[in-house]
Amino acid sequence: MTVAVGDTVGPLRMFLSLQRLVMVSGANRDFAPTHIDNEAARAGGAPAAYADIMFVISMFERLLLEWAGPAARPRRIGPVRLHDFVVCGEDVTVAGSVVAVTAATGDGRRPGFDVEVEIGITQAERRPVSGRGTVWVPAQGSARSQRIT
Amino acid sequence: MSELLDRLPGPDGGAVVVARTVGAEEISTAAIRRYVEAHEMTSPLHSDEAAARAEGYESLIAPWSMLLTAAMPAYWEPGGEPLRPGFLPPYMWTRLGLPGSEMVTASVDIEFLEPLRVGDRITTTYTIVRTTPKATRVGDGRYVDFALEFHRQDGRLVAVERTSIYCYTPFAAEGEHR
Repeated sequence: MTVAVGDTVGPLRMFLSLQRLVMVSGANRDFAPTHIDNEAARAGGAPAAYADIMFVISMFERLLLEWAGPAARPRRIGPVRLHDFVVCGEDVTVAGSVVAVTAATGDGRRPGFDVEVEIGITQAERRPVSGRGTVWVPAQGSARSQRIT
Repeated sequence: MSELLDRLPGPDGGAVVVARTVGAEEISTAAIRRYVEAHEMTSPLHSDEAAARAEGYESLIAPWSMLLTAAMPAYWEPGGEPLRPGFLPPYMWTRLGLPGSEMVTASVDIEFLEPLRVGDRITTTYTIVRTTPKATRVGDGRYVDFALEFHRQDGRLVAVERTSIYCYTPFAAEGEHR
């Protein structure tokens, strides 16, 4: 793939239902009441049950790897800053733009690039999460020379 | 709580290891499948062995973000006290008796070094690297900066995390748990 600063990454969208939050909780084992119970979330000042940090990190990963493909490898997700609640009952949109491209070798000294992406999560007019992620992508035509162990 | 407070590094740093935990479960294909399903992750590396091998991995790998789930200790084990309604995830920052009645995650930063494989079990070392007193719009408290190291069972460092938690006593009752 060819990558340049300013390239758009995503977006990906998901409707975040309470049912989805319960499903995510069962998968990531974060059973904090505020993530699966609207009443508990409201008691803490949120308008509804809201996603946890693991969901946020997972959606950053999804965005980066669905864009960069299976040969890519995440180097870093962060810093991720939580400004507001990612609440259920609304669409979640995750999107980014490339802010830096740096030559870097991957496993087995395979040539490639570290691509840094500025990422935001938006819900309607709100932007509850902002952050960055860096993913290594192989240079075009570079062959893998060694297995990752 | 006061003992911990006495040991906490101030704004100029001076790291203190405060806890070491072991993930409740080895990474399994079943756990990977549930995680992928819940987040609708499309990468073939989590479900297609041939695709994973073609990219140089020994076998299937877990989603990278599944690290935090793999590192989470058990909520309850035989012999433990019954869980009370409203129980929280067993992250150490909920169990260290940090100052203040509320805590919010201010920022998270994870560097991934090695993929998570089926059978891996993760040990986490929690270090407090800095605390910074701060009054904010929600209350009076302090930022507590953690550095976490995640090792797999063979001792290999698989990831590091830097997390800043704001622990505070609210001016008005509001707060968010991680």
